[in-house]
Amino acid sequence: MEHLLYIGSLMCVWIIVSLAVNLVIGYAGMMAMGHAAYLGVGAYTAASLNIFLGVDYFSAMVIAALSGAVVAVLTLLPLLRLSGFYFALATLGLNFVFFDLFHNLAPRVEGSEGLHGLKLPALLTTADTRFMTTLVITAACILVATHLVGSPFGRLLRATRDRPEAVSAVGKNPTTCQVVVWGVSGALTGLAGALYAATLFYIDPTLFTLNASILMLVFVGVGGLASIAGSILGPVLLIAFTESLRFIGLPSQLLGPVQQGLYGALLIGLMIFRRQGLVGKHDFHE
Amino acid sequence: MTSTSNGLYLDGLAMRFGGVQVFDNVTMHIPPAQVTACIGPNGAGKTTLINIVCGVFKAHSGRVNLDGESLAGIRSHQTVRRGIARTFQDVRIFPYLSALENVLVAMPNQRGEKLRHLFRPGSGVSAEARRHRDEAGALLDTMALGGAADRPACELPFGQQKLLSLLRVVATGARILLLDEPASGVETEMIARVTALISRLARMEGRAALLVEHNVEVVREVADQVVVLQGGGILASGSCEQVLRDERVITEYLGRIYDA
Repeated sequence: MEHLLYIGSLMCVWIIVSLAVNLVIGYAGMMAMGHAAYLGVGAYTAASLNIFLGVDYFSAMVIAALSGAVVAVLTLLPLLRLSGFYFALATLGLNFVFFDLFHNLAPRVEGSEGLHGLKLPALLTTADTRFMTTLVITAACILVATHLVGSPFGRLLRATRDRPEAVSAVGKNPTTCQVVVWGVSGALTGLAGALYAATLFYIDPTLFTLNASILMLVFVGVGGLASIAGSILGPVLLIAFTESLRFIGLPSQLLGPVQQGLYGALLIGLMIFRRQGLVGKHDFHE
Repeated sequence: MTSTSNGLYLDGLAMRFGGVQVFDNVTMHIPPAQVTACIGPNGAGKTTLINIVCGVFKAHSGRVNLDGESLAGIRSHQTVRRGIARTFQDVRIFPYLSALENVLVAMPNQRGEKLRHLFRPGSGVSAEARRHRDEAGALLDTMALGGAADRPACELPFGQQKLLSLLRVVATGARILLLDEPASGVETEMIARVTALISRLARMEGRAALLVEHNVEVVREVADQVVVLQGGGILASGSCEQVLRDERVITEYLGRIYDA
């Protein structure tokens, strides 16, 4: 049961991340491939404040979200001169820059490569309370994202995605719009990073690499771009799929390869037969 | 004669792309409450003029003034705040937004587009959004597009997309409208609606329009004055009747159209 609650908490974390990534890729058309960096910023901020300065974990989560937003906006500003493939490639580079920063500069607990020993409040201590707390925070994030994309701001985002020059022609600044949504996305990812640390109890730089950024793309690609429901479905189905493979009785040395093979086949199938994802309203080509 | 300190005034504009001179010393006044048509062959620089006014291109020399104030250095999105908005020859609607949303995006001063209002209870965003939806719906009805309000714009026929792009520029509330071939590609029976809308905007609402158009019948219908761009400069300008009867204009431009 405890393991199921742990999986549930992980799903919640990845739902928040998928919402954040879908806001920028699906709704704003900005091909983000480096959000693992902001996830790491959130996780390291919350864990460091909590472990070394004794900051209450909920306050640390708020600061983690703010840090995520600030770092996201600061890293976006120099990239605004780029677009399309070049923008995507530059965001990809963020993974490597931040991995090195976490690896070389981030604090670590003596004798380990990362941070452990979080002083968590009661609501995050046991598996069931942690799951419930994470679920409530995730629900709040879903409400925020739903409100955002359904608002005039969300409409402007979709317009910016499709025709930024026409957005300028009606007197709106597409760049402002992109910076704002990137900041919101960074905040959500930073918050998810803090929850991720609280779920795993231990973080190190290897959690925040290109692999994590690709995983985020896969979640929103499978769930569906420009869709809140897709941001929820993607991580829930894929994590459930991955975890369910543990129960089919395969020898442990085969489990990894089989899991990866099926995962790849599933993705290829979706890309061939349902490019917009399960419930998406847009696809990577448009 | 209207003073050039009112409306849009293009003063001695010159533009070149690399070694190619598009036009030189083009001076034009687009006064309020009038439709000024700019006609001429392809490549004469009509769309380039619009792009210069909107800050997309920087003129090689010359000035653009709005109500006596220079627009030098202005960025594209800022022109609308100053009261100038444009349409595109190739429509450039927002393809995956509905027809209604295409109009809504263009409406100015929406609090719901700012995060600080969006998440503040009692900020009146919902009421404002409802009002805007009603206004946008009414605007669509003027072009008989009400029935297509909820359809994605990319699913509309090209003519209707063109009408939609015209309504989008109207929705900005700009007082100077730069219309780049608003009637091209529009079904014949809908052209009367286009000309009626342009006339209404100028005569009833006092907006100024710079109409770039190849359809001479549309120009004849709505234009108060006409400027003919040809061969890197202004071939003729003046009242609509006067210019369209000008021998040089008939020989150099209109003759070719009618022959075609």
